[in-house]
Amino acid sequence: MPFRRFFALLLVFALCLLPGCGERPISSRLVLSSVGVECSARPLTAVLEVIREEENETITVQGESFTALFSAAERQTGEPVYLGALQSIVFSGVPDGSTLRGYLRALLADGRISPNTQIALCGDALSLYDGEAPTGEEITALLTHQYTDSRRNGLKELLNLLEGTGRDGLIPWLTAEEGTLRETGAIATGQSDYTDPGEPEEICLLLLGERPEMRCPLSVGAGEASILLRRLALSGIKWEGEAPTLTLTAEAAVQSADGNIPREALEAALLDDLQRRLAALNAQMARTRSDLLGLSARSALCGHGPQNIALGELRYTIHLVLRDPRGLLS
Amino acid sequence: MCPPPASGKGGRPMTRTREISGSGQIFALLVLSQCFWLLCCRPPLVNGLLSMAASAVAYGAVFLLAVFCRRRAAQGEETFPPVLAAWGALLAVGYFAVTAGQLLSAARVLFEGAFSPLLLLLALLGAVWAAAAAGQEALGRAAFISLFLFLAAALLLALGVLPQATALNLRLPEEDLSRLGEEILFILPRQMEPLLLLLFAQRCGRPRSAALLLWVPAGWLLGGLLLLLAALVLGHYGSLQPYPMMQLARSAGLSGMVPVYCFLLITAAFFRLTGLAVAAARLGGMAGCHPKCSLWAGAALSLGGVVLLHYTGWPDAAVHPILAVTGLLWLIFALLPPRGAGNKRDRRR
Repeated sequence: MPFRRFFALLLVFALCLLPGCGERPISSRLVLSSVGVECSARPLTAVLEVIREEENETITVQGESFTALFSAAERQTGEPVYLGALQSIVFSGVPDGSTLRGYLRALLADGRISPNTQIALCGDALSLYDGEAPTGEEITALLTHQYTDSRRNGLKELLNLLEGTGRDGLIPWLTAEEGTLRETGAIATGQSDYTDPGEPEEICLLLLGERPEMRCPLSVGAGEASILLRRLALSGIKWEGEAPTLTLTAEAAVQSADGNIPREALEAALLDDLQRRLAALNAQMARTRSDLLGLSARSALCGHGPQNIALGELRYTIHLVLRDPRGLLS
Repeated sequence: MCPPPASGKGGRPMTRTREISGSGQIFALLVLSQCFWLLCCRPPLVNGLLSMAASAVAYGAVFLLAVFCRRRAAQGEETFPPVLAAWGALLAVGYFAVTAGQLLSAARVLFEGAFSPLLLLLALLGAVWAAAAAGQEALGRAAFISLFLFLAAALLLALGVLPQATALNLRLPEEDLSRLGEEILFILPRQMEPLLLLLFAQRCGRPRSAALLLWVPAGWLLGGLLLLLAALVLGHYGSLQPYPMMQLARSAGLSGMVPVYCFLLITAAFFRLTGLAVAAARLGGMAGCHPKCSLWAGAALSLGGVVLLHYTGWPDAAVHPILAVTGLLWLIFALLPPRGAGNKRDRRR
């Protein structure tokens, strides 16, 4: 008898759920895929890319805040905004990190934005969506390695970099040229001017895991060689005063070699090249005042407490594993 | 009236009953119930490691209570005095209402207005009270099976977010040591499982089983792993948003993880609510109500409690300490040895 009542109640449960499921279908909402926001003047101007059945459309709105922008979109279209599918937000006219932090905090207050929403900067967000407008999927595909690799450039990661202590990162700078969207630079989160993108050092991207490999063409004596550096990771830090010594482990493979190149000579040339690149990375970190390797955070985890780390004077020890799968070296 | 006993193994009479659970079933029920506070944790996660340490202290106190409750339950089933039983029933209804209120708040955020959370809650409450009518044994069996599904879902969630974990997101506990007391006082009032243990263990096949205590460290371990994962993956972001476990699921970047989180939340909520419903109905019966009336009264009171909390807007952070203090007093009275021969000592088999 109790089971009959239980099944009766289950039936009621199912009947109750059915009308609830149909309460507000997603198709009747304004589903946003990407947003471009021009922040150089008040009120903010935004281009919202809306997902439609046939082809995505863009609408332009203005507002004093992000809530006002989304409200304006709802008034313009008569549909409630759905932010659960928002993949990317591109800002332009952001002067510095604290302003960007304020905008990201305002987005967080909405509560509907996914932590993996990709964030990027550009010169002019409104013109980015002119002509052959990039879609949110194109921007996301550009900003992540794979479609599911959402750690890089996500809202969560960027807030941790801007507000958390002890490490910095790179915010991608996008440019649309002849209808093609490209990542043409980056802003280090520690730099003071967010309108001046720089070209990040390739070795920095490799160390941060934003690039899987790096090619190193080398001249060794009379010969030329090409090395594919596949793995470069920070494996240890020796804290000595203000300029710690970092130990890196690297794995490289010989792609091509002209002439009779001994292994020892090639290794020496590769280590020299890497040290030059790392010196350029030091200069970039010092110039942008960005602790891209997270040394302050590592120092805190080791219990060393806050330290003034001289980013321009870091020393590196590299443990290199050089593979020659094709037997090109003598 | 019980049906005539059937013969079991070795010719021993086997009494059909809906009321006897195995210790493993009670273990499963209490572990699932204990996970609810973390999954529905509204305050932001400031320091995951500190929260782990605070929960260890809180669960240590709960373990102590659990030892006394198990010892008391092992003395045999007894009915409480009517006043004490009525007080306990109201306590269980109070915890039921605040748990349901928390679930309602979480559902509003989860479903973002796309689904009516009130309708879901009403349907869930119907299922909960229907399950409570099925008895302790059925509930225990369901909890035992659900625990495996729960652990599998938690593992799936962990594997989905693990690639984003980095030690650089961690904050050392020493950085927020001043918050330790606050964290302990946040976690402790939400642990009402000793009340369930005291009632359910009285009708357990092995009332002295270690499983009736091991649910405390098991729940701590499971919660601790989730807290550690949230600290490694969310980092500072976890301190900026409510419902950090939901943010953890959303961080996976895979659309299937939010349903996994919903499964975890609703499973934990279902068994916590059903356990409280069974406790309220049983205590209501001890207070002198007919079992059926006790069940319907519990359902009505709990629904009234949810409506009261919804419309008054009393935060669960304010209601939980009141319930905790009341619950502790009730437990102290319930754990006191009974006076003389006035109490029934009836060990049901």
